[in-house]
Amino acid sequence: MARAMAWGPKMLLRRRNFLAATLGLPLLCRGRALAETLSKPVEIGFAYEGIAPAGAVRAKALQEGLLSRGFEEGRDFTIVMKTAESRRTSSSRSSMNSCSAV
Amino acid sequence: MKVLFVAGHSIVRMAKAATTTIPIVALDLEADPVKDALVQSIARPGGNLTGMFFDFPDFAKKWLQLLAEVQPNLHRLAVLWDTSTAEHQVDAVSDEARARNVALQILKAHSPADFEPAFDAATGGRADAMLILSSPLFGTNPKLIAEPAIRHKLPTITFFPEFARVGGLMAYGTNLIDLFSQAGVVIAKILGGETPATLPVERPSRFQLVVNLKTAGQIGVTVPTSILLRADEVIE
Repeated sequence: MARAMAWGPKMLLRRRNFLAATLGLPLLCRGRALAETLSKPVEIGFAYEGIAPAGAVRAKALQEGLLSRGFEEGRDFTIVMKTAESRRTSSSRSSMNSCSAV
Repeated sequence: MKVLFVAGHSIVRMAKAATTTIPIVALDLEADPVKDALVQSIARPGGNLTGMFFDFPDFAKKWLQLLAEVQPNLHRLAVLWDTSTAEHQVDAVSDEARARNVALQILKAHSPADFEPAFDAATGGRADAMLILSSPLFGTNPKLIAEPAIRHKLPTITFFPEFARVGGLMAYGTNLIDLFSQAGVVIAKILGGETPATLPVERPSRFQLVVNLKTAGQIGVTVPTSILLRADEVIE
């Protein structure tokens, strides 16, 4: 009886929490933890053969991919973009907030 | 730490030639990275470069098949090619055209200024349709190609879905924006400590067929139901 109670709903819940803590959360936090190990923002040189406006849209998509893994622009990386037009480009704060001009 | 992200056939090669130490994530939809000696193998690139690559033999077949369904009397096909991209695409289309007994007219483009003259040459050469090969030049200027295509009443197809959304007749290919997001994930893996040498080359896995019926009406072609049933997106 005591054993049955030990494996009752409460125990299952505890077990679930334990599994989430040991397996799930570290996976979720992995990107962030890795990001925190970067001492300063990594420079991502983005060279693109297309035109500058299209490059800005694509840089935003690139940022979203990085963000999905816990890496934030400004804190973890900066994007330095150069397009085939060889124009020095830096986008607005809303779209590429810490993009350096080159 | 520094990471290079390079998008476009020739710029990928320039980056590869420039460094063997800085990690490079490449996006090149016009090449076979093993054939071009950019990586040792798809599964294990072995050097400082990995990324997303795509080459075209299968797509050449699909594009010509779609054009032939729209234009049953397809005898002459104009092909718009950005010469800064590899010849793999042209070779693949040539093989498929030969098999279908379709004559090709290859039109070279280096900049948007070449688009209009290319359409003039295509209609002058009595092309029945035009295939626009993959290139950042074409992918980022879809409207500049779609507009003369309508004026010249020429059925067209390309790799970039956006092309059909802005007035091109058809597109069968992949969503480029998704690929850039996918590249961001690859870069994140490198920032997390993995190396390009062991990160497998990825390929686009989702493809879309987009058909613009409004354009079909403007240029006087009928898109058969067989295509409409397969289309992921129909613009009316």
